[in-house]
Amino acid sequence: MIDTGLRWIAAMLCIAGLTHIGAVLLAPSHSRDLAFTGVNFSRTDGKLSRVDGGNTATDLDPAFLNGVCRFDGDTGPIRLTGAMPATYWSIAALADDGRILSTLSREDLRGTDIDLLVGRTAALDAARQAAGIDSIETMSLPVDTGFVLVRLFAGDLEDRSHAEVALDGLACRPALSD
Amino acid sequence: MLAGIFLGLVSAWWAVGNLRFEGTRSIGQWSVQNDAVKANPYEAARAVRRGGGLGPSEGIELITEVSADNKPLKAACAYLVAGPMPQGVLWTLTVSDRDGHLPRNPAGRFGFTALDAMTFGPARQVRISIGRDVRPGDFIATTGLSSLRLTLRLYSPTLATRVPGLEQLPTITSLGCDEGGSS
Repeated sequence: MIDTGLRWIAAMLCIAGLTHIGAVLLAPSHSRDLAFTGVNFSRTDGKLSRVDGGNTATDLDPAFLNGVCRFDGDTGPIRLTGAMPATYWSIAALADDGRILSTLSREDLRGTDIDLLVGRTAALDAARQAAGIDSIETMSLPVDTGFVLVRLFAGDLEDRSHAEVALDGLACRPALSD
Repeated sequence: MLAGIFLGLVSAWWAVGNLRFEGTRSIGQWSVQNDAVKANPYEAARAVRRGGGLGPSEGIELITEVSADNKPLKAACAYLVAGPMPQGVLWTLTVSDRDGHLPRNPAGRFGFTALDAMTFGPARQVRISIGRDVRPGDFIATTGLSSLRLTLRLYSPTLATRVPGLEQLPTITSLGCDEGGSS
């Protein structure tokens, strides 16, 4: 009787352990609640979509204004252009599962005007040649799909207004459409 | 079998959400969220929702859910965040619950930054109160939160490789739990 009970408990714990391991390992690739799942990219018209705690589950710094731009196999590499504010800002490329793949900050790009090509390494070269762009900053990634997240510091009202102007002025378009 | 599956799913859900289970590096009460810990499958699962934190060119993110005496932070209690902040970098301190939800307060005050926090003495130490009842000085209301997490983000590319020491970070001490909430 006791043996049977112990066997049932042991079997249950084995199943629980396997389920636990499987759930944790499969979560990044099978989760329906990805970092920017709730963001509507259909009406962006070449602009970045504003993201905050209201339309994404991502933990974003509320002292910053954040905008995201989607890239995938259809768009190919994307080109991010615009004027950035004098305050702190950074650009991060994220995979669909939320992993940060590459980042650039104000210190890396040195200047307020940005012209950045983001995409898979091989596709970047093709896009550069097709669009006839020689000197441009690039962000080479190991994936074809993901997001570009732009963070602009907006600590006070003045910073926020500068960040809003900069974010609204940023263009994010497929590089091959230029 | 169903009980085993249920137990496995519940334990996975718990483990992914548990801060101390992620293998992060700790500095006193602060846990450093950096890219290296993404090798941990629990942190990788959590990053899917959180969005990955900060990258190496951006800076580092430190999180705490415990006070200096290693007791869990409670939304019903008041705390004092006091001490130095790393000099020469842009920092932001954010108050949220464990799921990242921000407090509801009319001022829209969710934290302080290097530019708007009051500092004291030559070491430019901060003194920021957190709680449900308003306190003098820098104060963040925790209204609407059911749990408490403090996130300190340090924006500097050099800090990604040179994490600040304990002597460069503030500590969180309890001011009591007699604000009409449970202790």
